[in-house]
Amino acid sequence: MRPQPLDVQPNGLDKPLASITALRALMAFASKTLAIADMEVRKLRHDPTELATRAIQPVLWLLIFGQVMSRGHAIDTAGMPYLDFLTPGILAQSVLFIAIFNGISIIWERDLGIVHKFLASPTPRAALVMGKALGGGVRALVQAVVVMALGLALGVSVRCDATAIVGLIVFVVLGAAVFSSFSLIIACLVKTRERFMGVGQTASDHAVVLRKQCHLSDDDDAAFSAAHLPHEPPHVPG
Amino acid sequence: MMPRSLQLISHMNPLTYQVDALRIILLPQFPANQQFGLPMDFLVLAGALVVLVAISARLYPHIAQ
Repeated sequence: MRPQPLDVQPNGLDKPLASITALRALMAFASKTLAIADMEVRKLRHDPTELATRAIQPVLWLLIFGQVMSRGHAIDTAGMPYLDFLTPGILAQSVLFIAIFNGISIIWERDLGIVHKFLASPTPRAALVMGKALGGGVRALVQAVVVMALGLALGVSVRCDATAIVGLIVFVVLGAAVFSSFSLIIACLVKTRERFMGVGQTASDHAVVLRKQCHLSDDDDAAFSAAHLPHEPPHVPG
Repeated sequence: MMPRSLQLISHMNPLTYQVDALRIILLPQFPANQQFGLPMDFLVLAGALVVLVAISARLYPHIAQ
């Protein structure tokens, strides 16, 4: 038998730097996360119907609510048309809805036995969660593109330069990741589809209603401050 | 303008920061009356993400029980 070289030296001289070990661990984590996210995107490519059906709601809001409010001039927002002010809110709302129902996929995966396989693998749980969160981010980006396209078609003056696009992508993915993780927590706690749909719907409705309540109060604030500034007065139909 | 209790709850809702950030990014005239500013929005959302990922990673095996 030939003498084998030792993998680990007795005095630890061959250990790499702590920073390199940390970097390698981070890259391993990132690649596992991306593998899970890739799985999510493939599921999406298989059946993109959900994207179309979930896109209807923000489209309706923009078309109906936006047109009605801006015609009525009920709320004026610091010189901007109401539709402009509404579009990012609708975008955020569509990101929320797409992400909050993302968690139901692990209930399906549990029924198919896939969750058990992933839990038995050495993948860190955080990578499983982040992968799902990134998958939710991709779906939300598709929704965001639809909402932006519709907004531009309706004549909303949103910024379209490169920094705005990059910022949009960052915040849409980040927000979707936050709400996807939240929905995973809900799914892990309630465990059945029926309970999940109930809780998820309630949570998103609360978040949106709260946001709309504050948004209307923001409009009051904005109109109030606009009225005190020495530039154009609020538009009065007449 | 808003009741204090509602304002507190809205400051704990990540959607508030998400909407504020999107408005700052997308509307050229908005940054004058922004609510929190882009760095604060990013920090809050990133912090919320870290906390929620930690909790859900902890809870993940629950789904299989």
